[in-house]
Amino acid sequence: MKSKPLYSLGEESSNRILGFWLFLGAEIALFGTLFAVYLTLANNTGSAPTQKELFEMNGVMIETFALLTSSFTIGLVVNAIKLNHKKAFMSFLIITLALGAIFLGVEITEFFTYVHEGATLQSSGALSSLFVLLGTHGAHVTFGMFWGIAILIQTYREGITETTANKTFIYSLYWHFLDVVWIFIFSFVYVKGLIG
Amino acid sequence: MSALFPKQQVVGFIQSLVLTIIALSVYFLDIPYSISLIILIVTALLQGGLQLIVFMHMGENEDKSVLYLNLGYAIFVAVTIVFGTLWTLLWGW
Amino acid sequence: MGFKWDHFFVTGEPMIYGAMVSIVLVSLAIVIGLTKFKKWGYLWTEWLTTVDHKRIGVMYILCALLMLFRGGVDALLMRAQLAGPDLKILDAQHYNEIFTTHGLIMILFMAMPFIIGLMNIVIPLQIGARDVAFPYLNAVSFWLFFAGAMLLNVSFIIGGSPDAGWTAYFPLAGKEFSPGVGNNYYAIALQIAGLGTLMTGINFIVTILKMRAPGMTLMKMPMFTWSILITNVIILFAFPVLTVALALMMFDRMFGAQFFTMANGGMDMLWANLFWIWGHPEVYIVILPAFGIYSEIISTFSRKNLYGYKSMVVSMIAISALSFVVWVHHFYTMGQGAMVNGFFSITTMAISIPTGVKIFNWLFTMRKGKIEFTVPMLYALAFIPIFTIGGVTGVMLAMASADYQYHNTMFLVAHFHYVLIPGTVFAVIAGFYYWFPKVFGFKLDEKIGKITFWFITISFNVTFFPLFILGLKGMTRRTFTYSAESGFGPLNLVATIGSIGLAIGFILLVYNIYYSVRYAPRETNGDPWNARTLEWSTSSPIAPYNFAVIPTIDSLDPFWKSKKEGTSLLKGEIKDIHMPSNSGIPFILGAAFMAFGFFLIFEWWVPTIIFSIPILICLIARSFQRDHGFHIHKEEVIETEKKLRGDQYEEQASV
Repeated sequence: MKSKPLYSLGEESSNRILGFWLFLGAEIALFGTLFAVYLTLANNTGSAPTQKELFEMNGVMIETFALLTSSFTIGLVVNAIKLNHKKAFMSFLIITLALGAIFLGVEITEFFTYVHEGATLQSSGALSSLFVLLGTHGAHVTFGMFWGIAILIQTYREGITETTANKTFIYSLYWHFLDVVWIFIFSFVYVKGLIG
Repeated sequence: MSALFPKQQVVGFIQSLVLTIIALSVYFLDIPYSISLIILIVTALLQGGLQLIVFMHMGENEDKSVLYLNLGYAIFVAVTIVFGTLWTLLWGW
Repeated sequence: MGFKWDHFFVTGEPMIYGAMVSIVLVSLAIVIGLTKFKKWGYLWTEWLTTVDHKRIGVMYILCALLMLFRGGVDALLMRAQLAGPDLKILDAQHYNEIFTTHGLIMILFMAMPFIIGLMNIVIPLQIGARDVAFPYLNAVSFWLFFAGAMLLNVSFIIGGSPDAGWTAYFPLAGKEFSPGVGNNYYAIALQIAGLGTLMTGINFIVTILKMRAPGMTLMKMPMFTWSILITNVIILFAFPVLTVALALMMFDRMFGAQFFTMANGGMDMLWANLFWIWGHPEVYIVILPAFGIYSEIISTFSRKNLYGYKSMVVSMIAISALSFVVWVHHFYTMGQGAMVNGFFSITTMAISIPTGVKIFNWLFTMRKGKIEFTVPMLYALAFIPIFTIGGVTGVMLAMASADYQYHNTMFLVAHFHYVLIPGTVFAVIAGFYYWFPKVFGFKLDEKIGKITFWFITISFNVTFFPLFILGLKGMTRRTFTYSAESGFGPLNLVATIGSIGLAIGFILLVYNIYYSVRYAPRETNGDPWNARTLEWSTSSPIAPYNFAVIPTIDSLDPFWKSKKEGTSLLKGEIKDIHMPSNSGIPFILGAAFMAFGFFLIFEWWVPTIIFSIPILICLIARSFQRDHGFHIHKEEVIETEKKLRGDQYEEQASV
């Protein structure tokens, strides 16, 4: 019988993990609502630029591969916990955050480009819903960057303990979830918008 | 060194890359719209499932039945909201 | 700077000036009182920084009672204005603000906190746990609720209250037709409070699933616990929809977005759609706990097991799933085709079936039972027939084609008051009477309670039954006046007379608290009702750690079983007990959110950004905090048990 991993050893640790999974259920409802709004308003472009005119596949591909790889590397961080390998933990977490920064950099540039081309939050229903859906995801990633830095500092100072392992595992659930949401954004906002 | 890159995670990563490329192909290969949508739905669901089971260790959790129930309910609510809204406000008659 | 002060403080209304003066006076009285009696330290260490679920529950209920007063005054003002045709007590603007705040306060800041307060006090005790799963998060939930409630309550004197109804439909609720800050209060205050509620949802699901006493399987839980588990599942999935809707409202009103506008690709109906996707599950969030409370009370005061335990559970699960697929019935008349309306008519009628099952189960519980007509039981008995009237009128409304006659008439207003008041309000009052002695160690006076009950029940029917008839005669809802020719006068006058009776009932309720604090005999055995479930096995007042020894149980109604068989639930060795530490961060976080929210409402961006900083600091502080609580040593536990249980300690516990 396999012993329980460090991050869910005690009662409090496994309660925190369950609580976070429930939170992710709520986030599925949240992003589901944002998708419903986007899909309802996607064709309401008024006199503003359309998604087909605005979207650039290159930027989307960089964002997608950056986030997808960062989801892989955060998994390596969790694996490093199981191996009690602090150096691997720190390295892979730094790589994850770097990839997250690349994602955000491309996305922010993308937003600035849209605004420059006359497509703002205020231009049309389609653009309002596009910016809020992408922006909510991006805000979640941004929050995740700060959270990840906090975990980096805490693990650097305290080492891999039950507390830091538990927090890191929960952080990894959050980071994976953001990648799942991105998969749906990539498929049903960008690709769908470009082939539409 | 290889212990740092567990086989399951690496295989999962490669599988997600493949699924992403398949999804991208509907754009690059100009696949007809309805087939494209089906491909996108299938690849998205498969990748989502991959993340949940392989990366997020859903099946290894001691509370996994609660987790599956939670996920099921969440998907039910999200699907209802998306298709309920589209049907009520756009498609319905 | 040329600041428009008359847009900041609401001016020109004597009643509002009066309110401003009383708020200042009351606040001064509180500050002076706390200083004079040197209670600031006590307030901080015992209440403002508490993470104890029992204390948090008391604070929620105290707020709910204050909000019941405020929402009730709103109602009395409306009924005064409508007592006769063409009265000039309230002008249209004022009336709009009052019916809007009445709805928001009663549902979100009275019913929800009352239920969450009872949930907080009772659930850990009913499942044999020492606290909820996340005590710190629990405190955050309360202070976020408090911040949202304070913001909404201050709106009528600073800036103006929301005035587009509690449903805030667009385009009326948009910037063009509601240019003031009123509906900004709506978007922000509800958002902040809603975050707290979502956290409560997570907290109680984990608590109920993971912290039950050994032996308490899911099917051996008390029915109130089941109802709370399912309620929190609905909360978990419904509240995110409100979060999105309010955020989109904020973007439209404050940042020029085009979600719900009438040009540039906006869709005003999208708001109504999103609001009710949340709004319908919300009404089940407020009614399921009521059903749970009634199950406890009816079973206890019939001296019988609850009839049909399994079907009670299945029916609540069915209600929770169905509650997400009926929402369009709130706007049948707003443009969908017959197929859409037909689908939702069917789902809406279907959702009445599990509720019907529950009514029969309560009746069968009472059959051949030994009924005791205590105050809580009186409310439960009144609930059954009166709520049924509300329920069947709901089925009438469910039929889309018929609803074209009833929609937005007073018939609808009567329907929802006939389910909300006998359903939720009676239940929380009954629950208040029922669990009050558990928390405070003395019962509320039965005689005053019975008079209160009769005043409220009879007055409720006098107030709201005429509204069914008025609706069928054609009186629309949310109208600030009507003409004499319409013929609506006499029935409206009857309703207003009824509302005075309700006001008297509320005054009696509050008087009972005062009277009982002074005169009620104190009891210490912790079981004043000869009840059935685990919470009654604790002492009154309850020890901070709830149970000196976690009981092991093997049946439903374990306390009843232990009394019948003469065994003790407290078998086992007393050990050191681990307790969570108090924390000041939740209170500070709530205050920061209140300030942040206030400046966001007024669109003063610089102070808004400044007040986001303490929010971030609180989050960072909590992340880096490594406080693992403290231990109450076993000697102290034994001392406390001896003190609280007196003679019964020797009988009940074994060391």
